[in-house]
Amino acid sequence: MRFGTASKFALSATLALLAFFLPWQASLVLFLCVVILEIFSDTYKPISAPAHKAFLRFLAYLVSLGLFMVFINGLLIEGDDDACIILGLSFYPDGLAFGLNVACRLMLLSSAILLFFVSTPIKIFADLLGYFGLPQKIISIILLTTFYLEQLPARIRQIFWSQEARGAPIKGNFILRIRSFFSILSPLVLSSLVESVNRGMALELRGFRGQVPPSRPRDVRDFRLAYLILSTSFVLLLWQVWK
Amino acid sequence: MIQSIKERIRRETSGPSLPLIGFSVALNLTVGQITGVLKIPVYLDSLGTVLTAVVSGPWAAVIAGCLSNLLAAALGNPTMMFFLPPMIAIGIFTGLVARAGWFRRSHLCVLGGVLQGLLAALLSAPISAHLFAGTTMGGADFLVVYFRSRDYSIFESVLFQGLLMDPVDKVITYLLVFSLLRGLPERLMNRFPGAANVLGGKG
Repeated sequence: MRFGTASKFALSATLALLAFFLPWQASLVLFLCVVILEIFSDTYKPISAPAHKAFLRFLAYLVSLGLFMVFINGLLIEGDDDACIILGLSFYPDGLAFGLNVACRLMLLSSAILLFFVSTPIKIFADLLGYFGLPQKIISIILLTTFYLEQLPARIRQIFWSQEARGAPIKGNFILRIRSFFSILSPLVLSSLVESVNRGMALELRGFRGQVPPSRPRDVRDFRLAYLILSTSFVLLLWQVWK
Repeated sequence: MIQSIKERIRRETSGPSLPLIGFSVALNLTVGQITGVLKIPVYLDSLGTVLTAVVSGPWAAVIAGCLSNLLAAALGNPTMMFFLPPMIAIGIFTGLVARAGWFRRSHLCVLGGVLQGLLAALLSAPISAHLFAGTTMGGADFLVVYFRSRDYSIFESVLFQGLLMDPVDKVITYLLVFSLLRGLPERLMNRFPGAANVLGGKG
């Protein structure tokens, strides 16, 4: 069975929400489920091989960050109980428990949200936001941002190399480095402001007012399922808060 | 009142402001690349929001700030999407101080940056402490753990970390935007709704 984008979004949002009130053991199990979903399910199939690799790299980072959080909290945060000695280091049970809770919460939250984005192109996500009622102007801004996100790193590198070739100090004390930061930022912002003026003019000349949403087919059944999942998780959340 | 706000939002998100907001969001998300290469130990992740607040206005900045945090969540730091209130405050506060002419004087910029930093620290501390127990996958987490090991509560640790780091970050951000905009040609600035914030009576 393959879910549509809306249900996929709702399921990821629910998993992320669960991270806030489940005990660490349950969060850890759900985190493993997220990994299995990413690898084996059709619904959450990554949009490309690099996206899959990036997701796996992020998972490795999350796990190492989680282990580090458990280690550092166990080592530094004292509680009422006596410390236990592991490999010659004193760990406090309260600190370890606190570290495990926070680490598992972050691991589930992060992986659940990334699970959605690794399997959904931004264009389709923007369409989904439109169906949920977000103004067309905001959707245009998101699409413009994705355009700039693709362009900016290359532009930054180009300016960085040019400034380095001109002898801008990229090593040195804090003030010098802030100055060279400014020398990179200044042409970047100036060129982007000029580009914004040109793009803004082009949009106005084409009559863009951001009021008429583009017409696209809408999968109503998928939205019903999405609303069902979202409302169930909302009821769960309310129940937890009340408890 | 609502009509006037709607009209302002429309004005601040039309023409060149619309692509500028897109650029600012991308700048917020990629500025870490430059600070990383230059080994500058500050975030500057609201640089685009402050730039938009001065050049376009507070509502455009609120949109830029909120979208930055939501997209940062999509790109690998999901904790960011819970920090919308500080971003909204940054947008509105900067837009208001820019309108009051604080971006025309460097000493007022420093004062604005300090106040902005304090406001951001006060607003983000409860979110960070209650939702994430002070851990937000950032470099400042070390400082929080350090304060916790000194027997401060989670909330106090997060608050002290914020009060130490945010004002410095925001003062640098404000001064960078001040210096960037001071050197821009008047003809270019006049195309944006916030031209008077930088040019004063000349705009």
